[in-house]
Amino acid sequence: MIESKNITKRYGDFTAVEDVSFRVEPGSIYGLIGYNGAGKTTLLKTLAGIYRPEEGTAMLGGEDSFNSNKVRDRLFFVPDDLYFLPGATMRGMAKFYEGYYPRFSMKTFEKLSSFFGLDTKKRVRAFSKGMQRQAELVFALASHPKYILLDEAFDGLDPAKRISVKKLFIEYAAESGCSILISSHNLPEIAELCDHVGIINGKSLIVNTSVDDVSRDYRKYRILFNGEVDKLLFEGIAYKQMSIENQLAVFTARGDIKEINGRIAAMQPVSVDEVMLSLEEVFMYEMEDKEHDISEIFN
Amino acid sequence: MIFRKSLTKPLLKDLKHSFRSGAALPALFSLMILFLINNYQSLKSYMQQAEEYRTPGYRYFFSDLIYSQGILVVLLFAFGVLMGVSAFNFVNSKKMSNVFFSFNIKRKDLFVNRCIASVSYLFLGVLLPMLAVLLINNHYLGFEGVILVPWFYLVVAMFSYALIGFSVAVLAAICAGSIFESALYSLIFLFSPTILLYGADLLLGTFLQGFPVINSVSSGMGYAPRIISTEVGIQNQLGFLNPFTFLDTGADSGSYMGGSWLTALAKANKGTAIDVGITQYWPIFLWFGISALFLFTAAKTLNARKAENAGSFGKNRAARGYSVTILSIFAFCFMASKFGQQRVLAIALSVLAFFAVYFILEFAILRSFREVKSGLIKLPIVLGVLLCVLAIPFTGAFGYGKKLPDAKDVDKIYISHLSQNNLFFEGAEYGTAYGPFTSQSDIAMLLDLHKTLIEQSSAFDSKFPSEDSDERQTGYYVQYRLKDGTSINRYYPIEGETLQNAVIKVADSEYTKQSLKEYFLMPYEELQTKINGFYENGKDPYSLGAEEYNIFSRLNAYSQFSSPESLSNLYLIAKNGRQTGGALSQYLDDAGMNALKQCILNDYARLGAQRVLFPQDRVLGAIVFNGYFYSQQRSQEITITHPDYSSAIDFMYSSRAVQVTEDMSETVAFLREKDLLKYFDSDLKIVGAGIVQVANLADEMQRKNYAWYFGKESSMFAPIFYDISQYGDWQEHLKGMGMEIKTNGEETARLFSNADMTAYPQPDGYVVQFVFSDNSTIALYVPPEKMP
Repeated sequence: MIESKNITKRYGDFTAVEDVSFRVEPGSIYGLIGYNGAGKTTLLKTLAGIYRPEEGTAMLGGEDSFNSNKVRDRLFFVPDDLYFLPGATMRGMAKFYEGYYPRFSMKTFEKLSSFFGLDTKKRVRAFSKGMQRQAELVFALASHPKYILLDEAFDGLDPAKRISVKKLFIEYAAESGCSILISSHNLPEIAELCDHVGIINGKSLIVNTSVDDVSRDYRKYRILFNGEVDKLLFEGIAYKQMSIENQLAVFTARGDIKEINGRIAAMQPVSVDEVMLSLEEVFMYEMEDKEHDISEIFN
Repeated sequence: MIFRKSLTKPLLKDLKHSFRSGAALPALFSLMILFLINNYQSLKSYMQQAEEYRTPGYRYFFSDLIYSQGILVVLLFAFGVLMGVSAFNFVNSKKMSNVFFSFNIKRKDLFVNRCIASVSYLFLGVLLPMLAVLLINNHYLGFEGVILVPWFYLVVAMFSYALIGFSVAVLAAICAGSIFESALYSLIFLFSPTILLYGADLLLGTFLQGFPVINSVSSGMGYAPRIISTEVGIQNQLGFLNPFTFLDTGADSGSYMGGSWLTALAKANKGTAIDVGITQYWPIFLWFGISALFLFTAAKTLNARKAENAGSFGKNRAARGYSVTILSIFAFCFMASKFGQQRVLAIALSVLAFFAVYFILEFAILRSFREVKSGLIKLPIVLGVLLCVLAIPFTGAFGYGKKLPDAKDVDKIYISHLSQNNLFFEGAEYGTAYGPFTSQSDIAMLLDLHKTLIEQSSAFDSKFPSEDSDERQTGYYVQYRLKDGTSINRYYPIEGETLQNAVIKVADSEYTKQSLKEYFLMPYEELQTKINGFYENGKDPYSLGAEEYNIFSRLNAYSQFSSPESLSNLYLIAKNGRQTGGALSQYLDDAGMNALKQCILNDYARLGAQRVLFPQDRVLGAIVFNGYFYSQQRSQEITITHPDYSSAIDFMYSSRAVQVTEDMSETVAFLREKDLLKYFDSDLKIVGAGIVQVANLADEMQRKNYAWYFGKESSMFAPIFYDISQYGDWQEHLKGMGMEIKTNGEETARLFSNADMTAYPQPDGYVVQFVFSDNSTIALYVPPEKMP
């Protein structure tokens, strides 16, 4: 299990991540989403034992990942910025990782390389960005880790390879009980691949739930009234993206849906349309405060 | 799932990786060291003359290293630094630290593996080329066990340089955020001792009276404290703490290892056994310890290092603060010494310089005023320490400048001077020792001089002779060797009457008289054999205070006799510049030469230095001892040559001249008896003279301190020595030089009669340019009291 226990990470005076707690259970794939600079990479590197948290603990299998190096032989971290030894071929890199990962399997490596159609005798640095990413994923899976941390794992992969990679991860997690944490901007992919999701919004984790439940607390309403509508009417409801046009009010709300529906019913609307949000819409709902009015930029 | 368990443990894999990834640099440096040691010319020379070198003498190729020691040391430091930076580059690369820090290896193990690999390579990088040297030596010159002693020392010494560079670079790399910052910190760390020791010498040399290091910043001699002797100065005394000099100073600077660590190898010539003992190794052991301390600190720093600092700049507070503070301290010392003559201004400006450098560097690195401000707390402490340090020389360093040894405790005394010209009691270079003075009377005389200087020293603004001064001045350096084995070294400015009295007293000392006598009368072959013996025995004749140096020192008595062969021949020169051509020694056999020397000695002894150096009687001409130019000439007759201006300059510059005055009765009588006195006479008619006062001439030449520039070797006379025939009207030419023209026969004859050929000019004295009927010319000095 990967566990973030109240992790706070600062760069000097700047707090990148504050009091973040979540778990990635064995066999589970957890998607971490957030805008650029929200702290995803910091959180992943802290969990990988690369960064030392100022507060809290990054745990892998119940052990502190920074202080206990032993647990890291079952960890593979795939960073956003990949590193390959100068002049090394894929096979050379495999030998390199084989030394560091006791469970590294050359057999798996060969199979996966062949699966992706990668030439193991070619220098990795000569590969395209997407191929390098595939190569790194090959090394990760060939190491048979118990914990995989993937930073922007799908960057540069073509659609076909994305599908393959997703299948591989799902298969590997299910079979080995590996805990996988993926950070990404690609929300549909996260929704498709992950069973749990966390949204990090500049320092804090504001959503931490299963993908199935992510829409539970969010609704988009379209309400028609008899007469003119006043915003004041909606006081007490945590709404965003509100637009009122004559007798029609459209908004998104988060909270206890039963209670919200009760309040709306008390307003005696003519009709109420209630729609569940997709992951992307939830993300946009949560990120709304960070958005700019684009129309203002060029005025 | 089936796993094939790797047999390679991560730790061993990492060690293997460290060796593999670090192999290129040592291979390159090993080759460079090999080529440096075995430079082509040396090899060729040895190969061609192998037989000659093999018997009876014995030389080793690497003895030539002494000529490339500087390059070798730089190469070894570069080797170490590059190995360190390259081995720990991974901590400064985000990409690489992501990989290595996420492996199942403790940071401590990552550190140890890279150190093991790098240090092994450093050692091999030095050992392999040295093994090659050994093999080449043995191949061409045959095996000699004696070579192994210096060879081993050289291997260890070279390795120690590389190790220092490595350990410093490792610490720097781990503190840094980028390769650039690693290199920057490496340089600052390596140069820190130099900066601090140099700064201390600057401060003490400027403000502490008596301190035997001269701050020459204000002297126009370049921006460096001038070290008088290898035994004095903070840089020298604590040189073992400086990675660049720790082997040069060694434990015993008096030994042959002093001065140059490679000197030991040069002494391997001719099969002399090299006794490299533990004393030569202790600075190496000391720096092995310091290197280990650097590495230990680096390991601790790596453990605490924030991986997120990779790619950043100036994030390590300790390294940044140390570097900026070191540079600020240097600015403080430099500014304090620059304006040392005005003490209040010096303090104010040095504090300002300290803050300015600190702020500029901090702001340049951090680019945030808020962050710079947060680091200010340590500044008052550093500044307070600096001001306290400065207070020590300001207050006389607990009586340091006024300390005078008891005469009964003094075993012997060496003295030296500091001036650009070869005035007075001097050697060939700055700080060359003159002595030892051992007699009670000489010791009392020098202690008395020291006492006078202590009383006068506070009156001087600058410790270094200044070209802006109107006074004749120089620096006086004295070293007391006490009976208890310790020594006291002091330096004072000395000028005016005190200087003149000192010169006369030293010239009249028992030591000088004895030296001159010994030198004049010792057979040349005996002298030469003695000198050669020093070199053959591997003694360094240039290390101050070495007993054997005594003989070299004696050669310099009265300053003009600096080479033994210079007394093997002589010629006579008349006051108008006409000189005898051919070798007079053809007419004076050995007995005759010795008799002439004995006459000169007797006259010097009888007249005393006052009358020899500042003649009162008429100057007749000069006897010039010069073995260089005429020893090959074997003309049977003495001819008179017409000197051009350059030979006249030669005469003033470098000849070993004995000015013959009328009161040198024995010498005059001898020359008359041998019918040689006639060569001082000449029927050449004086047609006129140009007169200029020394002070005015100094102004003309924009030099105020005539003593600085007008020694008897001064080239400042040159412009008026030119063959004036090329100027047509000589009077116009000399007027143009600011001279007063005299053409009256009586006046010019009196001037000529009163003129001296060699002189220590005073500002109110005169330089007179005589013009003769054949349009030839000569410039002579007329002291103010002899001016008609």
